[in-house]
Amino acid sequence: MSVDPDDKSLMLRFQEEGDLRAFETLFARNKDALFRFVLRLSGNTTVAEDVSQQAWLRIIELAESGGFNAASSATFQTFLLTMARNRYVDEYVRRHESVRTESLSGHDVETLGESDEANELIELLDREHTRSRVHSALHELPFEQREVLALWVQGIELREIARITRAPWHTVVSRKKYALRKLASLLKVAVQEVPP
Amino acid sequence: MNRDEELRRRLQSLGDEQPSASHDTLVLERAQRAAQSVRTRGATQPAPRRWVWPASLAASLLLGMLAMRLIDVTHYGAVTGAPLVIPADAARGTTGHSIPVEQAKADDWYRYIQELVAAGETREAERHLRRFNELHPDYAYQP
Repeated sequence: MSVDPDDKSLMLRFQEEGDLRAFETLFARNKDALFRFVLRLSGNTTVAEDVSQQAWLRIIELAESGGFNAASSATFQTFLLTMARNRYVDEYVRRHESVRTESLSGHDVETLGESDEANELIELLDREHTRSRVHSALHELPFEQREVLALWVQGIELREIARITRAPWHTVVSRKKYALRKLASLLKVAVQEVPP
Repeated sequence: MNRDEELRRRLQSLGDEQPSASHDTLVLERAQRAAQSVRTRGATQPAPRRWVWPASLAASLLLGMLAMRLIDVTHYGAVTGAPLVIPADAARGTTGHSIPVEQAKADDWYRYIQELVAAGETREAERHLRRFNELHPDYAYQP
């Protein structure tokens, strides 16, 4: 049984041997996920294309100069998402949005408890026109909550999200909870506003 | 599947967007140029191979050994040519004469080699040890 090479191995083959097929596989595996992540962050296809493209071009430059370090403990996906996230923050967020850096206290996290946001959201997602409502609601969220949610939806675990966003783990946990709570309330309002 | 996971999956399923063809083309064209550049660099400047470092180390050691051998031959030729003996006080049961190593007991000879090492007579000790290993390949020292 053949085992597909992992992303880091593909990146190394591209870097060390100039193996274009390896890069094409790597690109095909990750390009949609990266694009969707930036799209959730920005809500803008043009921005998502730009940031995604810049991240990939940076990856290629890195390989060309032999600078990719496969020994790093981060996965290739984390590496790629971090690169795109930082690019987006530098190019767009700092210019147009204020980035709050305060973290929520442990008390805040505890008082959030095991809320019913998940149940409520699942129910709301069953309604019609969900996609556009969710996209609009996502952009009502503060950037810090939106990026945590975008990464979490992408399948990234909270500890990795803390690494990517350079935020303490408990802050990431609370941001996710607040994001889900706010998303639920925004979707509820959106549903009520739609005429029957 | 817990509710959290289900929610994640549901939110994930809302996104099926893909980057445009021009996005992909630009990235792949740049990758093609980079791959070509890496291959060209590889052809003109071979990347360091795993065996280069150990091989150069081995070559240095070999040169060092040859140099030492040359010094032995030029400066210690007389010594190297001399028959190997151990002095009477090192060999038990002898009558006051040095004896050829071939006639000495292995333990006595080995102790004498240790004394040579302790006295800093390393070259002589090496000569003895080499011969000792030839004559007593299975010797195990028991203090």
